[in-house]
Amino acid sequence: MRKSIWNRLPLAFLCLCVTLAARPMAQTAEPLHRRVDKLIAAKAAGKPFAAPATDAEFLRRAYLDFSGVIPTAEQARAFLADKSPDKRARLIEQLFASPKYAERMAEAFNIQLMERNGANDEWRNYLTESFRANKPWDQLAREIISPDFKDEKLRGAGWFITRRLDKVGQQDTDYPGLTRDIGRLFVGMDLQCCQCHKHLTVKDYKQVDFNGLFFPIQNLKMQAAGGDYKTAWVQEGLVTNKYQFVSVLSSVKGATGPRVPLGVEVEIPTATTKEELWAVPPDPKTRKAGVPKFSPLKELAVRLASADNAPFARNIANRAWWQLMGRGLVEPLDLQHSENPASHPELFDLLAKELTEHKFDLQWLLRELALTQTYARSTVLPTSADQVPEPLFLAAKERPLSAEQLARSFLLAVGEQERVVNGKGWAEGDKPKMLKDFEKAFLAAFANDAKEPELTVNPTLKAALFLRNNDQILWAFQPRPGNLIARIAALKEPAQIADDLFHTILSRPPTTEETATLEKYLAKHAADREKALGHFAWAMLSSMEFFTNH
Amino acid sequence: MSDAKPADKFVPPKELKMFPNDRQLCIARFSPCGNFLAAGAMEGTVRRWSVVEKPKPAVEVELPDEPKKKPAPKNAKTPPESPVELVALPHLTGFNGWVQNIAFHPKDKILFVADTWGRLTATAYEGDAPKPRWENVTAHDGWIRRLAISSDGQHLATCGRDQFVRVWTTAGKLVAEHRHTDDVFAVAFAPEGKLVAFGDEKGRVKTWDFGTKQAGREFDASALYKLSRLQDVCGLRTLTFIEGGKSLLVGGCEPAGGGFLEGAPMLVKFDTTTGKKQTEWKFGAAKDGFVLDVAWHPGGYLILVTSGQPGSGKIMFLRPGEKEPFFTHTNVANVHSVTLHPDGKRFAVAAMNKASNGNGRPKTADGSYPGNTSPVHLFELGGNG
Amino acid sequence: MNPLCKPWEHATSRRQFLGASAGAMAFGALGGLVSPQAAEAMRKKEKQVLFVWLDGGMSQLESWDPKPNTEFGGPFRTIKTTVPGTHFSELMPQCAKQAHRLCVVRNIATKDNAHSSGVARIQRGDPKNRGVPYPFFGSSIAKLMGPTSSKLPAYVWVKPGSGGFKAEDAGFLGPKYGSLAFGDGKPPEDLLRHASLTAEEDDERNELREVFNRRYAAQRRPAYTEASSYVFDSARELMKRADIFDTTKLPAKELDRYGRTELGQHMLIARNMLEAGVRFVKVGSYGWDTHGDNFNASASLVPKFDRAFASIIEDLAASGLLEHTLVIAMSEFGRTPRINGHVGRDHWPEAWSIAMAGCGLKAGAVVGATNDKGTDVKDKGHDIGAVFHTWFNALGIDPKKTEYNNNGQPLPLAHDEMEAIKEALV
Repeated sequence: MRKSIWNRLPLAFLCLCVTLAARPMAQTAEPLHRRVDKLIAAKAAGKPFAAPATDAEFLRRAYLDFSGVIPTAEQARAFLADKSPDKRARLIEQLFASPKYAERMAEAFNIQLMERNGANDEWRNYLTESFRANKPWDQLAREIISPDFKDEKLRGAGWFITRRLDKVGQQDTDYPGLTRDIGRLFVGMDLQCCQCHKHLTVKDYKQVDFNGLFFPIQNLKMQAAGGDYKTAWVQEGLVTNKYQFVSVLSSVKGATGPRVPLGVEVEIPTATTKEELWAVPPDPKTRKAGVPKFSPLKELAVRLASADNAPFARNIANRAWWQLMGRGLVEPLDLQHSENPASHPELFDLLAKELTEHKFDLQWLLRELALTQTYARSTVLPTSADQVPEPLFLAAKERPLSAEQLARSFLLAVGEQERVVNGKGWAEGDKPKMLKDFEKAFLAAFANDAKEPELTVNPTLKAALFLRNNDQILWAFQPRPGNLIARIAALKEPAQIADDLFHTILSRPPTTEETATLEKYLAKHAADREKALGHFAWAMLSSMEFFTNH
Repeated sequence: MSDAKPADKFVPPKELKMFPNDRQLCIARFSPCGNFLAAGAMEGTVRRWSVVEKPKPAVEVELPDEPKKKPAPKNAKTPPESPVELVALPHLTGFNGWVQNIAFHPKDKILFVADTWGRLTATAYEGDAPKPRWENVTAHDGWIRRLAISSDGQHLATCGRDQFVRVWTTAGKLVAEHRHTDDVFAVAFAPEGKLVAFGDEKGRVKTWDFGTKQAGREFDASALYKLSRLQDVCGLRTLTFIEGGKSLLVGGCEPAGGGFLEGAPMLVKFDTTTGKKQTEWKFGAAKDGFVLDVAWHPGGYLILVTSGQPGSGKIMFLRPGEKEPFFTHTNVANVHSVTLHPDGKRFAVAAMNKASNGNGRPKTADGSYPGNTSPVHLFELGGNG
Repeated sequence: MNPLCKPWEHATSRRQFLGASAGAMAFGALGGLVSPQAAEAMRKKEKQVLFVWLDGGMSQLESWDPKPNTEFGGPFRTIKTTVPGTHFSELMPQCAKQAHRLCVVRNIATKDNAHSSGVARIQRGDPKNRGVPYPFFGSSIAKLMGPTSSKLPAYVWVKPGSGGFKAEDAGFLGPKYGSLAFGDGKPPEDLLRHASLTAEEDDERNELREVFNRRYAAQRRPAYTEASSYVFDSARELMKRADIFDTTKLPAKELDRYGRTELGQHMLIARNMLEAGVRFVKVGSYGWDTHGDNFNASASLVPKFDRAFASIIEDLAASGLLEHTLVIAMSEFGRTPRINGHVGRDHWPEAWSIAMAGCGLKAGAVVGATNDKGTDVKDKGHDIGAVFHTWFNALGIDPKKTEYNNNGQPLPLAHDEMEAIKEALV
């Protein structure tokens, strides 16, 4: 038998203990967010932490993370004025309770799981509804990996697979790509290198790990939309024998049934008769393919997205951590193995264990993480950058805004949301600009290319040119009834203007220095004040402070 | 369709025999006496054959260059013996590149040969080693694209990639030249007078009086041209005066694109006095390619041959007054040239072996790399006039 | 690979924010203020690449390796070149005059005879299968050398059709090493300064943005802000040089020399880009797949290439840029000696030619040969892997010592069992 590092780790054992142990023990334990902070502090070993984020920084961060958009100036002012000590915790509760939370999570998981490989409403709705219902992550994963196309409510989940199996030009159907993505996104292992031979740099990853996952995947056959179902779907073929593979390096042969990477293998039933093999036998007259009784994909999904499969819990714990902290406990997110330990092994174990124990309640985990001091630190470094190693989480890490977050936040800040999003307030003769046009333009400028994960802040030339010269961007800085420029142009005092601008765009009051900068700039451009205000607002909106989640 | 009667009586032509060859051919022509067939090859040679009529009661004659007959399979009909054989004669050599054009003098026993390196030659063509009469190695700078001879045998016209149209006496003296602005692909003499028509790469067709050296009328055949990406795709290949010079036919291809060169074979008929387009024929699909050669049958119809994507070729009979060919033969690949025997009863085409294309190296058992070849197919016309 | 490197230490190397689509960059090379002359001088020592891609397959027999008066030789003559004893097809009169600057390899023997796979295989150097898509040469150079000190994008592609930021060439290096494509020679969207802005206004608002950025970055990690400034600067450099991309302003005399064709125009833009300091310029030309009517097609196509290519060689030589610019002209394969029924030539990877010039290469060299009929290479031919070794060597990169690091997976730059073509290198 192969040695698996996971077997050596205590997680499975712990889970078992937890299941057997009485519940009250867990309840008396310290809340997770406190234990997280303790473990982070322990590892820091006395190195100085960054100061807590200012209220403004925290507010903006939480809004972006859980609502998907920056707060309005009013929301910012109200939060800053609130003197109650528990206002941050209340803010988190309020954001989690909002319907926007599910939309934001659907968006974040769409980006993470589909990696800009197209858009699909049914899939998006499926994700939104799942997060609205706070569906346990293991259930959600099973529904995605082994989609039930018969169930209209769940069918949308199938797009994860069908999109990836779509034929592109003359290329072969990308079964290896889908295999790779399931490994990367659900168990944090990029097994691609092991299709044809053992992994060259990762000892744990063997050829059988790829092929055991590949087996049920390559058994899928794409079925066009408009036949049995309105959407495209996949049908499984009959599996009666193990899958054979050969190493191109060593020529050593192997065989496997459907198998969880670094985990259990599904036994293939030894069925022989037609009745044993088929739920619906193939129809020679209509040439309709049959439905086999044994579904390798379903069997695999059940075992992969399971509390018994440690890498599954670890992967989502790592990804949840990454989502709020900007860096995984294991990096890269999709290269978990024994020689690539977590920066905080104990913390990593704890998160995975607690999440498993809480039946993969992702909302619970995110809420706990949002309540940590680690999440609530400033991005302003305590000492020089080389003294603050990123993996210690001494300071908060700047994170990218998605193209969608940017588009929404931009329109909100420039005061064009009413017109563009709600279609109200257009003057006669205007050609209304639509939200979808903005979203399209922002996606083109800021989203990564298809299949390229969006993991870090990523300034690009394309985006810089877009911000500098694009028509839609510059349109937003012309005064128009009710928008930002018209509003501040009506204000007399530079201090008033600065106050509005900074609260609206950066969710914080201006510093004296910033107000002075504005005053000087306006004095210089007194002849064309509106235009100057537009340029000033543009400079703020294209600055890093707006463009990162800091 | 004014002329339905002859069509009713039409008997399709019959292929008498296919004569294999070891090279690809550009053009084939029967001599005016009918005793010879000559062909310009995609190498510096002219291939020659004697046209041998077999006496009616069949007597076995030993023929050279005859491929060994395979025993006929059971139940297969033995093809009737061809009443005519083509007996290969030694090649005429000494030409360069390809011999894309040849033309027989209507009366004298002279064959004119133009190659792609610019050489224009007049040569005898009978006997084992016929002698050249004259030659001009720099008749053009490079590829001579077309050679025409006037019906009275007085003049030759040539045109080339060097953008020149030149008229010569059949003794080899340059009579007149016209410098055009583009590669000139075709030239033809009007039946009378000193008028030639020429057509260029871009589908511009013009007449030119080589006596007065005056430009004449222009005909818009730009349908036979396309700029496809970087490539100027020239579809124009043939010019033919018919109806005593009242009409001019422009033949070739309506290019859909360069590279693969897809396009439907096309023939356009112009009124030579008004320059107006009278009829435009398109024959087939984009794979069918070009009308590459045209022969006029005194029975009042044209024999057109086409060559397109490897394997596709047609022989079509078309009356200039009708919309569709009244006969189409397709069981022949890539027909590059057609020539009508002076007796009006037979015609020959230079075509192509099947499966002439393929990427990379073909797998022959002996590892050799054979080139393609152009068999000559000999046909007998049916009883249609 | 450095044996001390651990994969996770390179975790983000591929997906870093830095060069973004502008290509990799070296901050070190940018620091400080230098006079324009000094900058120019510095740049002049920087190596550059011109890569001319004739998509579909130019016929070697109608260009670099003619076989006149042979069975498959075709209708054309040959002409003498400036290298005694070397002849090109008559369709290349201008290149014949530049032959003493060229290095023509006539014994290229590759494997793939299909476009769908061949184009990528050839442009990726056809290394051994490592389960990841290899970068095209331009992306490799963008990764290995980055932009020059001009700050202009490292990898620009002048091509017919659509433009924009093209990620597909980059393979496992990731999209930031893709190309900035000038579709139909035109600059990408949003490259030109917006009509509503004057240059002064634009500069001033960007200075303001920098003020905000500096204030913001004061106590934060500098990387993101530097990257942001870099791409905004790059944008500015590109915008400032909009003139070099404006085909309406190309001088008539030069256009005539390069040829008033799509390729001529694009080659002239390429020259301007090289002069402006773009590290790697790829010029694409399509429609060379002459399965039908190859000879008339070549008579139309090859002279257009001939004129454009010879002109840029001449100009690069005159300005001294050729010394440190590697020039390459090639297709995914050659064309069959055998002429098909449609008078075309089909795909032929077995024996074909690549023309090169400049940096690190022997001038006036003809490397290797094909047999009399052009149906095979004499002796041993060179596969594309060897050609990639040659290019890397010519640019001073030793592919035997340098490796890519793909998230910890060490990958050779070029086919690890092949060697550079020594006869081509200085």
